[in-house]
Amino acid sequence: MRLMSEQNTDDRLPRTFSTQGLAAMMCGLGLAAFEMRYQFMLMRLGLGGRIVVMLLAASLSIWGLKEVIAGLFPSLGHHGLARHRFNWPMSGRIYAVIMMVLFIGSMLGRSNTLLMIFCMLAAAFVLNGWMSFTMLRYIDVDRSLPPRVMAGEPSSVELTLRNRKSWLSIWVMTVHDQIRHHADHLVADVLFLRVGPSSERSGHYRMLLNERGRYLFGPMQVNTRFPLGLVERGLNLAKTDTILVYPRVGRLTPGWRNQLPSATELMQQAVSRGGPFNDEFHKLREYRVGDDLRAVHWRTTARRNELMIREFQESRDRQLLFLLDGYHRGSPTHDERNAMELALSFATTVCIDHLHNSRESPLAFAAVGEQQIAWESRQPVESLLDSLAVFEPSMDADPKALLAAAMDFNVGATRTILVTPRPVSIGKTLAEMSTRDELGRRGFLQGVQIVSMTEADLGRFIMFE
Amino acid sequence: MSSLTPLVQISVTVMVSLASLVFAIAEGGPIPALTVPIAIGSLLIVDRMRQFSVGPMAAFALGLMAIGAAGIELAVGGIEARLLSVAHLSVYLTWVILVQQKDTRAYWWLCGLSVLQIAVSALLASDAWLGVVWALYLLTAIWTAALLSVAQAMERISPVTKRERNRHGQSDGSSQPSGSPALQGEHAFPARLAGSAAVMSVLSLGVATIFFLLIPRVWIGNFQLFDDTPLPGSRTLTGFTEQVTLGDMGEILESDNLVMEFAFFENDTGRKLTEKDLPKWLGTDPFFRGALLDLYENGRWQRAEGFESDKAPDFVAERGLLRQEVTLQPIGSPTLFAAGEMLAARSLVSKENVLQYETLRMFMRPREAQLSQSYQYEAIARPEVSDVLDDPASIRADRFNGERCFYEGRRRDGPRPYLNQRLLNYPSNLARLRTLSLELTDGLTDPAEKVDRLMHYLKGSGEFNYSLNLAIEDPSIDPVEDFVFNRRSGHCEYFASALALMLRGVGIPSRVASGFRGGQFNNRTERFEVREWHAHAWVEAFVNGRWVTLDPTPAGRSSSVVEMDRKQRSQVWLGLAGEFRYWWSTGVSLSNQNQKQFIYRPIQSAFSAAWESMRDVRGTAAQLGTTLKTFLSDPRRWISWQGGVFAFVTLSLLSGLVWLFRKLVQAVRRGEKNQDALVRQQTRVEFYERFRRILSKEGVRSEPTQTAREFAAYATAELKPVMQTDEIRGIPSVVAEQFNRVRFGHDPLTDEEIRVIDQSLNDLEAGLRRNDANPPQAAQVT
Repeated sequence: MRLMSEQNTDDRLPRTFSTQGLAAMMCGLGLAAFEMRYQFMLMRLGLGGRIVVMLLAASLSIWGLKEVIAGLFPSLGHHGLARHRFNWPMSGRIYAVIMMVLFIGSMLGRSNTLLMIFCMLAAAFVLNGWMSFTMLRYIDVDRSLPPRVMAGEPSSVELTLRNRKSWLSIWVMTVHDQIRHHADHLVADVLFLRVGPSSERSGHYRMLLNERGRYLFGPMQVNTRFPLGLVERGLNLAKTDTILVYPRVGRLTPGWRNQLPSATELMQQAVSRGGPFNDEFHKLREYRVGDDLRAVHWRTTARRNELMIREFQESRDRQLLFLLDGYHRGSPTHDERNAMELALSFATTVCIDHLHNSRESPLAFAAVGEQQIAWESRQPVESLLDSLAVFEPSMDADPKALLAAAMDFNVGATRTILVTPRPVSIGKTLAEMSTRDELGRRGFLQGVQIVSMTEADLGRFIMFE
Repeated sequence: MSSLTPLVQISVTVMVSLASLVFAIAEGGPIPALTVPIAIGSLLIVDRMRQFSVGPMAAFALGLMAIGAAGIELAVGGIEARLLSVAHLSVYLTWVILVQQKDTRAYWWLCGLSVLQIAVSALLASDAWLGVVWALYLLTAIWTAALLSVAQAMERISPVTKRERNRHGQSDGSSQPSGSPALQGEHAFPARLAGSAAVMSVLSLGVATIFFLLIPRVWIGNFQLFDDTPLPGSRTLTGFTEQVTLGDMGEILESDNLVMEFAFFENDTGRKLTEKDLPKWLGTDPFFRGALLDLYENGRWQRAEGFESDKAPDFVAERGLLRQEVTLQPIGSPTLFAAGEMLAARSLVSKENVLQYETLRMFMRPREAQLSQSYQYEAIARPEVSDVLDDPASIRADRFNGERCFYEGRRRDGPRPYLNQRLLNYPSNLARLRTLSLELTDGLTDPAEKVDRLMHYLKGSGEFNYSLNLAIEDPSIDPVEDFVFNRRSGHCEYFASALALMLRGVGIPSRVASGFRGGQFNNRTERFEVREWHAHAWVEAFVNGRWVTLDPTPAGRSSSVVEMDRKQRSQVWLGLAGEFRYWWSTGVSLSNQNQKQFIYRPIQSAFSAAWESMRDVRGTAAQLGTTLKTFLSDPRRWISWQGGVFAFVTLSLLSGLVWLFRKLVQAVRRGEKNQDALVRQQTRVEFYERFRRILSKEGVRSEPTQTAREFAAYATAELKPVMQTDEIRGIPSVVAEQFNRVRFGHDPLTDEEIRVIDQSLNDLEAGLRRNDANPPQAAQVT
């Protein structure tokens, strides 16, 4: 997988060919050629008329060229050349055709009244363009989004549009945001009806990101067709952000609970006597018949004038070591990819569940794929989730490396789970290592619980709501 | 759509109705006006109540029928009918769309069709009221378009993310019904939008005016959309027609529509004449002679056929002439007017020739001229004083003095069939009138005395009154006899007709002249304005070898016209309307030559003057100072337009200075702020970033969620096995504390403290390097 980053953001913008730009270029060049060939304006208005026509033709050609270049090289859009976008909706095109018909009709028919209508339409058209262009000046858009979200959980992104102009309001402006991922491309729009001068408004859109990984937000576009809807002008804003989407967290099924050792059910039982596992003080309570007298807390008993017992909480859950074999064949099938995603969700769910319910009980995680992951619960859990979010399987995933990483963990009583798409192969490897005594004192690997990385097997342990 | 839908529906209905009404009035036909009830019915039944609508197939069939109906019009009509057929097609299609359920696209189509109808109305009419209605339409259209653009934007927006279109466009998330989230809490939005649309409309009108003035009139080819025949809707009634039908003028004589404007110049010197100069040249009530009508049949005067025209001269080598620049509104006639005896004429708007009917001394535009537009021309005329002929007493005293006649014709010697046959042609059914004429002139032999007697009979006897009452008492007889013998009251056409026929009855060649008499001098424009109520008819008679002008209409007509002129001057509204009509007619008749004269050259001159002023800075400053000193020393000028300009310029300069000062202050503050930020950033980078780099080499990296202290504690725990001494183990926490102090406490380190930190980091780096062979057992997240 190619990780997306801000450095290669621009390269991913789609290239387009601006037919409007080409048409403008052709019009400009055609106008210049017509004037040079037939001297239409020169004969009627003299050199001044020719200069005006040539300037108009040059402006059209240059603008059209700029649009074509900006479409072919979208990365230039963030560096000034094509910062401003122009789009001509169908209503505007029809309007322009009507205008041209009226103008030609007035010139052919020598009709000043028809020319008046043309001028009214042209003035509205020009003002439309001017106003939308002016509204786009001195504005800022900020995006506020969470740095991390869970796949499949709804979240929202807040956009703040700031109008730094001191005299002109912003009307009917749409902020268009893009959310890209190697497997998905989402778009979102937020409409700001009006933002007064020197003020700001906030809007938001909701999103539901289903794929884990790094999502790239941006670049944004601010568009408006106000006031007449004849011309759409836009501004490219190179404001990019990333969000890390963790694997989807599901719910462990009773089938998974049944796989746990019997000690787990006592995991949170509070007892009044101390013992090798009663290592955590829980609370003080009144004496009950049968309580160990050694657990009496005499100072409190004296203060309250009744027997008070110290109660301890047992914590004898075993360490969990979760191993994930990120192996895939050269061209994984759809089912295999889904199984890998399911395995990652399973791993995430198990780890989070373990951390929530087992408190101080250690957790270790190791995985091999394009990257290797080796994580212990002393580290921030975000680092594990971050790694899982961008984890990619590999056909070069070495099972021995995975086992070697597992053996590095300093563990006692460990429950080891290995999720792998190649259980037979891994089992043989384990057997061979055991035969050669390569597992050494890491005997915990001999009792590893291997879960086949298939949707059917994993589906027995995890479910999604 | 959205909660704006009712507003959109109402606005579109108003806009479509307005456009169709304008089209209907301009065309003069009922078809476009039917759009109004259809639009209102559609709004109520289709859009609001949703009781009825036409389905797509039925609409398709209706569209085909509309195209068929327009095709029939196209096939059977002339050029106007062809144009109207296309315009009618837009009306039919409007109806078809109106009776369907409409989405945003349908509303856009309705807007486009209404624009087409407005455009067609511009071809059919050019009256001043169109300007007002078009401005109203522009306001309505901009408001509607703004509403539609808002509604369209709200339609496109979804509060949840969507996949790109190439991914089937399905919603990614749990799409929730959004309603109009953008409008929530925006109760004042429609009102604000209306204000914005109003401002936009005013700005559009201003920009449109600039465009209209600056777009060069480089007409392409020599096409004409219409021939001479006025379209049904283009009312060109002005009181003047080439055929006078008795009884037609009453309505006209009460209308204040502008017909002509004159600017008078002394031809020898080029000096423009003022209001005071005009009576010396033209009298107080000048005649503006147009058509000459010599054939009378059954209550109608017309010009006999058979006259040959020739190109009119555009220059006359004679002194004492009056040059007149005339703006003639479209009156549906090629006849040209001038005060006095017109000797030469030329067009000011095109290379179009002006024709002269030599026999009649009438000047006209060619028949192929486009008469639906206003026209500007220049006439050179011989001025004459004619008002003496109004007063019978004066007629007796100075009658037929060649120098004081309105028009003195000199004819070649020899047979004069025009005079002796055509102008003596007397209708056979008017025997009673001839008898009366003979009785009145019984015993008189001098034609001049006969004229005097008949003029006195109609104008001075008191038996006839001026009236606009057109009721005919005896329809079985000729209108002139009915006027003379029964009613004895009527307007100028009756008096002129009666006198002309009575003169013919006694053997004096005569004819009816149709044109205008009187007018108002507009001091603002310095132009003499002639309106429809100045329409007039009078008589020209050939008496004793000379042509004389006779106006038999009693003084009641003059009183009536003078009263209307007075009202025109006194009523503000009429004055404003007149002003608007003036500018409108000026715009409608704007030509390339006008543009060069009134727009391009003044702009060029202004730029040249500005350039010269810039080159001569010292002189300009001195002149400005002198002007300012003069202005400030004269308090009476403070309350004037000059005072307003001074106040505006002064306040603008002050505002600019204040703005500049604020910008400078902001820039200085921003610079200081950036400098502070830069200093803070550099301070942080110097030792903490180095600390992070050192730890990063050992595989310990800070997480985004970790504070400096947390990172230090984490690093200490991770690297504990390789940190040999307690001093080294304590370094991370010290660095973190110092970082917090500098970064968030804004308390920069002293030089000594920086030295200590650097030394500590050196120790840390050295300590870790020594243990490279035995790397820490920290988990690495790769």
